[in-house]
Amino acid sequence: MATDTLNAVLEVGPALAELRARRPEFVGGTEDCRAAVLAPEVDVGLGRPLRAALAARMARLNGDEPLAAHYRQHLAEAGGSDDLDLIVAGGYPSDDPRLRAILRHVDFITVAPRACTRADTLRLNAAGVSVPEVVALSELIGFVNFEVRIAATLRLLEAGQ
Amino acid sequence: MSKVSNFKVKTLVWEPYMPPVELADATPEQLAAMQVTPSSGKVSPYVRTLAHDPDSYVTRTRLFNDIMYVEGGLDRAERELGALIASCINGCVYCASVHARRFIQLTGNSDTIERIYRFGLHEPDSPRVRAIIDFCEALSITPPSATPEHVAALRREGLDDAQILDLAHSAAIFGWANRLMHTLGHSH
Repeated sequence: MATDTLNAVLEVGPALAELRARRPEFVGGTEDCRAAVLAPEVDVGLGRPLRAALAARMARLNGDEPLAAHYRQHLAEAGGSDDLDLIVAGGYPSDDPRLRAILRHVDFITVAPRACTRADTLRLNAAGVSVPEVVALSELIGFVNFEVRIAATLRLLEAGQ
Repeated sequence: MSKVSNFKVKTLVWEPYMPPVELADATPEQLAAMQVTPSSGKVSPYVRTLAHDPDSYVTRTRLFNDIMYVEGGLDRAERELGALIASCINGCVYCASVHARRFIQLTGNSDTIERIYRFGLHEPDSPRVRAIIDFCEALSITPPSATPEHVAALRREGLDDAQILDLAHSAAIFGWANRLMHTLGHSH
């Protein structure tokens, strides 16, 4: 059977699993995207441990602890550290301007994307985040914010079964 | 269908904040992601911007197309409405304009779009449109705040769980697309 990470993370029942299985394109496509943003074959920057820590941080900002726990598993596999754990918890582990800019952007675009301006995005470049890294970071932010919304809907449907 | 309004949504142009990939400098992987062939014409600045991360671009585009166009389940126009509502919440003017136009093309209903553009998301509409707007709005804010009452309203309007999940996918994939388009560039 094809992998469906969300089914496993949410421990969905058989009725909802059947519903998910009716859209194999969505399930498989989400798994492909997960790999591309969390464990890319060609990493344009960021690195797997930071990607996983940022994903867990964003899941927590969305109030989704089960998904945060799932992304923390990615972090454990990629190689965690105290600093990365602090990132997961919403903290700022160092004064490194590049890392601070990344963390600020991740929080900002998760919570209030509509407020983003040119200056917010270019501030990343000024802090030493390359253009490909900004694009990769934006895809990661987008993916996690996508996945928490599918998870939220699956929980609502499961509760209404 | 009686048409009270003939509201039109302007076509916008999107420009990136950062330099996109130039075709002359592109890696084979980036060229493949952009589907550049000797006979292909211009590649849009949006695609060339996202080609900086070719893997994500290719996988997300495939998922996007499946969510918006796969057969069966939720009506195509209602997927466009989900895309529009997410884009309104996330402030992505470009995405909103594209999907507002698609909704009008598919339904002939420009009244709903005019109300949204002129007065926002909380105007009276048909119960079905209201249920879709309310669910997609609640789902799109952070943290997502859709409730059992939102789902119950969709079910009352005849959406089954498969269609509700399709709707959630259309709004959620725009939560993603908006976080690219609205942060990596601007439209005018």
